[in-house]
Amino acid sequence: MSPNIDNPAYLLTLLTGGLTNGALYALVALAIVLVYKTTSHINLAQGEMATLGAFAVFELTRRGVPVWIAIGIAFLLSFALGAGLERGLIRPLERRGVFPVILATLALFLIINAGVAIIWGTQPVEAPEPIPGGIEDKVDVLTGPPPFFVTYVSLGVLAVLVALLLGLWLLLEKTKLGLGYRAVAANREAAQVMGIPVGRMYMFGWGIAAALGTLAAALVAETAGTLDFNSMGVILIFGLAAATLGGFDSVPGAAVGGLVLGLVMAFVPGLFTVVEGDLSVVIALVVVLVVLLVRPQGLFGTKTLERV
Amino acid sequence: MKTRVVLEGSRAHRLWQGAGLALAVLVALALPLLSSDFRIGQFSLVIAYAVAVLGLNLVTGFTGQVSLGHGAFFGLGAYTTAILVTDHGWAWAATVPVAALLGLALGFVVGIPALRLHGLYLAVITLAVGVAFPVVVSQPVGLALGTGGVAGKTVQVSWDKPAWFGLDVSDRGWTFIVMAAIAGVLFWLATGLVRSRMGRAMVALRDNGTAAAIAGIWPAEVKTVAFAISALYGAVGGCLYLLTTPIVSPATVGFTITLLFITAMVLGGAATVSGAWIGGIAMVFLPYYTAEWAGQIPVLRELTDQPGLFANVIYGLILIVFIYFVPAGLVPLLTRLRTRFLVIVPPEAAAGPTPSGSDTTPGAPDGGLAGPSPAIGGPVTAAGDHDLSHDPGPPARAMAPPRGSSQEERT
Repeated sequence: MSPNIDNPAYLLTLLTGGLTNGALYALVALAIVLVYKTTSHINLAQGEMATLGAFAVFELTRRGVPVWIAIGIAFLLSFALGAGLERGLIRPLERRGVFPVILATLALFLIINAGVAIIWGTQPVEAPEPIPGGIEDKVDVLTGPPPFFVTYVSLGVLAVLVALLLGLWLLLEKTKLGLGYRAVAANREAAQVMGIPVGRMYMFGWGIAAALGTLAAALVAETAGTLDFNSMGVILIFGLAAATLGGFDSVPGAAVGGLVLGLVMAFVPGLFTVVEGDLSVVIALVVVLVVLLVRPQGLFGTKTLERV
Repeated sequence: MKTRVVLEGSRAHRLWQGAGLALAVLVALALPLLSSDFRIGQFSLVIAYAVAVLGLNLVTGFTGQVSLGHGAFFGLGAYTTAILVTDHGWAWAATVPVAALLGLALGFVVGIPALRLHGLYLAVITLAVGVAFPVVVSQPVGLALGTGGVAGKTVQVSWDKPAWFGLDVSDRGWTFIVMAAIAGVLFWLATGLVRSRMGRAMVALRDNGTAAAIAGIWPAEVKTVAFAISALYGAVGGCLYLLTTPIVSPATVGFTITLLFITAMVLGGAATVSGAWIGGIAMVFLPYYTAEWAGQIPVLRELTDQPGLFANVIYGLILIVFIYFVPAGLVPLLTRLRTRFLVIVPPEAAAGPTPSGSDTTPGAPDGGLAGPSPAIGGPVTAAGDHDLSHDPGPPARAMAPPRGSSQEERT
């Protein structure tokens, strides 16, 4: 057990840190879920596509574009990229089963990862700051000692997550597009029979996921302070773990899964000093294993029944 | 050229196989005689990678289980050998069984989730294992085991050519010959495995899991064993790797090498044994020549100081092209090329069903398995190709008795 167990500032710091990271995982998990819901595929290149988007933001801000306009442009660009990749690369492989699609996303992973490194170099660059003040400015809550404070980034990331969830909810529940998307997610064949353009809904899912990923990567970069071509490598694993935890086909599940994972990964090493070092990947692995073995559909997912 | 038809198992077939095997041995001996030490090092690396890729072929190509963590098995083997040799003064050869057993155990453990999960979920689990491995290695817990952290673990294994060996090869050349011999045995065993009862069960499980289970195959056993054997090959590949490279670091065994293994597997042919050689060759020579070419083109040279990155782009493109146009890989393509002038038919196809030899090759539905000698007539791209393609000869004979008996058991 950690000696700081009865220190409120320490616990609160763990809590906010966990929630901040958790919100970032939730964003990546959301992207994975949005792809999965309609197409039943996992895009393993999601993280790399997000890195590409974040670098687009970086490039635009470097050329003097205000950061949020840059994010808006990158948002649209990555939407187009995601939708285009679905239509051009993934769709033709659709009927060949799961494995070729996984391979195609892995190929994307390789190409985008190396492409970003070729274009922007392998050295970390200064991250764009979507949330002004970033990691320096903070709100002091407990003056301490030890002090407890919340950085603007933490607040901003959580605010972005809430805003995005609200926006997604409006988009999926209140618009005709969202209705079509949900129909395809619920039953592909029936939706097709009802005249919903299933293919376009796949593209929509991929596009919105890529756009979300871009936002996530920009925030991940700001939280970390730097951006490099491997920024999203491990985050993808956390996003996958969060999506597994919440259920691969559940939007609220992705959010809850991300936050819970973030908290687990903050509190487990924070309170129990069993092993030294940053073993967050191992924790994520354990979470994935436990969830898949105990409750494969996740916390909020629908259980798939297979007819044999 | 006139097409020859040869009966499988006939004397003519054995002669072809014998000739191929002899050629393979000849090439394995000639390479170190004729090449510089640098080239020999590259060919040695081909062997190490080919063995690891073969492991991936067995679990993914033959058994149909997605494995995105093969780099972890490779790394496990490499680190086991490195730690035992450097810190504990073991001989390299003594570390191989340890690494193989550890690989077997880890593969078995990773295979357990495969019992309940398939497809995407299995991909997520294995991916997490593959990503977690290099992280664990570079953390304090890994350091305590002697992994050397982020910087990696150095290891010096150098062999002197023994006096009794008559050929005038360098020490590196001798190492290459030993590695080739080890790889020969491993490929021979793998060929036997895929033709054995277990191999047929693996393929059946891949093609239709439910039907296989109904036919009396126990999926749990086959899947875990397939993962375990796959990991064993990966680990031994890692051991062999250390004979060519004096250091292993978290960066070498990261997710990138898993991706390269997968590309290599698809390139050669996932459901083939000999395809692993093509994969291994690509893994070594593709980045090498890409970097060289990229260094010569001014536009590309100015883009980045790391021309190796272009190789990754090319890997990705190859992967996409192959998924789309050559999903079965190169080996079936070469086999088809060979059938233009040499067709090998199983006895029953020529003379109707016979009581004794009623077995068919458990290949992919489209004949994707290497079959007995895929590259006899195919274009010879490199020596390694031959090494394996003719190995199937002996195992066919060696496995014959168990095959017969298993047939009887079934009927």
